Amino acid sequence: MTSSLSGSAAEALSTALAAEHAAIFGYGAVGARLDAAGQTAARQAEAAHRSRRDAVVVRIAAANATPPPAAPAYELPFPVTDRPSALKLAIALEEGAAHAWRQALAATSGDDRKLAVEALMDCAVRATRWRSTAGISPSTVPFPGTPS
Amino acid sequence: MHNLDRPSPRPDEQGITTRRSFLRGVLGVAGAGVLGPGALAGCDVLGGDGGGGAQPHPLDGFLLATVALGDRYDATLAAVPALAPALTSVRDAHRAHATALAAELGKEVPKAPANAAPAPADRAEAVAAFAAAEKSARDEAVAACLAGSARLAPLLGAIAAARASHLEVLR
Repeated sequence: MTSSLSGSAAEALSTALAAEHAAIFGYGAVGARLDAAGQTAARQAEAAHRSRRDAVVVRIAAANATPPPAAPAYELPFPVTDRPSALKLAIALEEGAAHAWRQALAATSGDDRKLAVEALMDCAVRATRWRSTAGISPSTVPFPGTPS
Repeated sequence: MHNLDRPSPRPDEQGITTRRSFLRGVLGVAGAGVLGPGALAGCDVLGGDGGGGAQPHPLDGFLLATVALGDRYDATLAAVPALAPALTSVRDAHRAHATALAAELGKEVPKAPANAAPAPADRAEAVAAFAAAEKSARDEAVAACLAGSARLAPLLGAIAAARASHLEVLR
């Protein structure tokens, strides 16, 4: 069982954790602007980010490091006032988390890298669903987690 | 208040190094220019005999399979043109993956052997075949990512994530 974390792995996981905190907060603003199906999708996405957050907190704590706590509030990158801006935020949240998880791949190995690649795939899949819901074509990007 | 755009990459993070190496690869500084494309491609198809100076790499097979997957989309899109609007970008992603990976490995993009299997006859058959292919390709990319070096893991992880997202398009 490996419980220790290298400095760069701990930093990368903390960065990813911060992105998960931000995504959880951000989804609070997404759901209210969507229809019933969209609200369900937003709730499921938020739950997925919470469970990923919990896994990372446990992982960092197991290495006797202190997981960074969530900030009390996060500034949204743009006002969320309607369905299009809510969908745009959902996509941005997934892309932001995907970016952090992709960064974490280089700094991690073994189970930690597995956590990171699974998180990256999940974020990419959700981003694709949101783009599709928003009518964005193509709904996929060739290199998820890479800022365009 | 924290800005939601955080976390942002920091200059000291390895991703920056990766992008820099990637750029080097794209510019052909990483050794791809030493041999002609034909020599490299032929060598890879045969599994690499080492005689041409191209060092065999554990990811040669993965790279070749990535090229073959792109070819498979080409063949199917030619047979079932109605799929082109939905799947051309997916095909292009596989091509982009092969180009990026070959650049990272300092190689030319290899040519895959022609696939003897007939292209699917209709849309449903084609979509089902692609879904199965993307699923195993995704799993291969995850395995390659987990086994890969710190330098290659981000690219391989992104390839895995792209393949996972292709399954959404094929639902």
